[in-house]
Amino acid sequence: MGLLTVLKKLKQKEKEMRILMLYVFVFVGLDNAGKTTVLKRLNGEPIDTISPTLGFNIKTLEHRGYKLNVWDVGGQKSLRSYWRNYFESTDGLVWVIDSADKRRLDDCKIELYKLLQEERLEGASLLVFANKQDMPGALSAADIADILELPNIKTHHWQIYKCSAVTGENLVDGINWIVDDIAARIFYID
Amino acid sequence: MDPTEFIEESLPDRITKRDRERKNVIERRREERQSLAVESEQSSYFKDTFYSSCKKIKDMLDDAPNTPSSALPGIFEKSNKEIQLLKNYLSQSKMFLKVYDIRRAQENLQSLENQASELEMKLLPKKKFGFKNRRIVKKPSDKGLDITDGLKDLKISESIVNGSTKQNNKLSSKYGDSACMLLGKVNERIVLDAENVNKNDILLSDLIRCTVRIYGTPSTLHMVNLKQCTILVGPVTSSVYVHDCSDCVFAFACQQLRLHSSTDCTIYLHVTSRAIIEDCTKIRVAPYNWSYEDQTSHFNLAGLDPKINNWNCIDDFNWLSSEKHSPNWSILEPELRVKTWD
Repeated sequence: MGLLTVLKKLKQKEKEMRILMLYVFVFVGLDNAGKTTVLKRLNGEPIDTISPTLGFNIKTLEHRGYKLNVWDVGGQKSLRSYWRNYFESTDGLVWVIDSADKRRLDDCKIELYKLLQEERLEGASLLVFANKQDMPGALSAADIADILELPNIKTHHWQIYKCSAVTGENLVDGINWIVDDIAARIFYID
Repeated sequence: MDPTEFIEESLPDRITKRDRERKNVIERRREERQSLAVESEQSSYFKDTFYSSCKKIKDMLDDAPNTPSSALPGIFEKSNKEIQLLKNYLSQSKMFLKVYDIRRAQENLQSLENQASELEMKLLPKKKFGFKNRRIVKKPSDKGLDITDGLKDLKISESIVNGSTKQNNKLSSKYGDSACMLLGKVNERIVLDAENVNKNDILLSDLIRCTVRIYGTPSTLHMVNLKQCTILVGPVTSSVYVHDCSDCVFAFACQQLRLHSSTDCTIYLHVTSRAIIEDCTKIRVAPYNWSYEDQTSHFNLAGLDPKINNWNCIDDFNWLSSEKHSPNWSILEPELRVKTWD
């Protein structure tokens, strides 16, 4: 084996690693759940001037040496049919819930299950953020898991975290979980 | 160069000369380095400012139990704001700090935050929801409907829900109700007071021909299925979420407005970021012009800037063209606007 082949192999390895390091996330959830606020808080941007998302935002975050490509998609009814366009090669799905909005939890459940049927999301890890825990009427993560029947999900790895985008509580823990989960899965396949 | 001149200079002379030059260079480099390193980017500077403001917040919190309760909300608001500022400062300074310093600073902030929230829980417990006598507008004709009589301690949804609202009723009983709600009412005048409203979620649902006045700063406001109602609300901290309303007049201030599937509504609006509408028709907007006694302090409490108002920039999800104005909403002519609300 010549030196050239050794070098070539090294290069290839490096390339593979780079692909592994790049995770694609989609933030979805009903409108007014706080998706953009969660994302901006994670990125350390101010959160008091956020407008309802007309379309989508893209952000690249660096987290523990991983590069996270995040798509934050608007939650309005008229945009939900476009969600599927963002699912190509998605490693992780972050589903954000307004824990204080009990009225729309049924709606939320319907949309979530519709999403999980999506072929292009097969195998993607699912992180559920029970957001707005700083609000007085917020439901606990356990209650929400119950209502959404999360334990019945067998097709995806899932985990629910209570969090608050306003105080920043638990956001990083949630992202840590999903990054670890994806990493474990990808290395396992190798 | 003349070689004889060169030789004339004695050796020690040349050596001292070179030594001087070398020292000059070193001195210059040192000065350059100093001017580059900005004072504010040194970890000692960071530590000084960070911990001195930490101490200020801590002193403020330690004093809290001895201050009169009327001043408490202001103190907590201020301390929370300071903590937030410090957090931002820390995240901006991460670049030039050592890992250990960052961790210690974070731990400090965390303990401050915990202390603040514990104190707030202890000194300012959230009030139970109930009506007060003070501001109820009584109509002489329907005394029987006066809901304050003897119902003070009852939770509102228990006292009002009377089977006419199906799903909401089920949901509220299923999950309890720490938020305050008004459900299924016809032809009534209702007033909610700051004590019950501040920092709470408010839900108005299935109301017909009602007039609701809400004095105070709700955290969020949801309005569902209202017909021919007039709703006046103080500054809302985050968002107002409306759907399935028709023939209504609203007046509120908020950070975001989301209006869905509604028609024929007039909104006297103060919005500091953006308002959006979806599946709506015949929406008319005008600037917020309802005012009451404590409104300025409520604006402060809600964290809304009274000077920033984007009432006339509304995004329509059903009308994405920027060249032509959306047919679904319009600005209400000044002469048609309501002048006084009393």
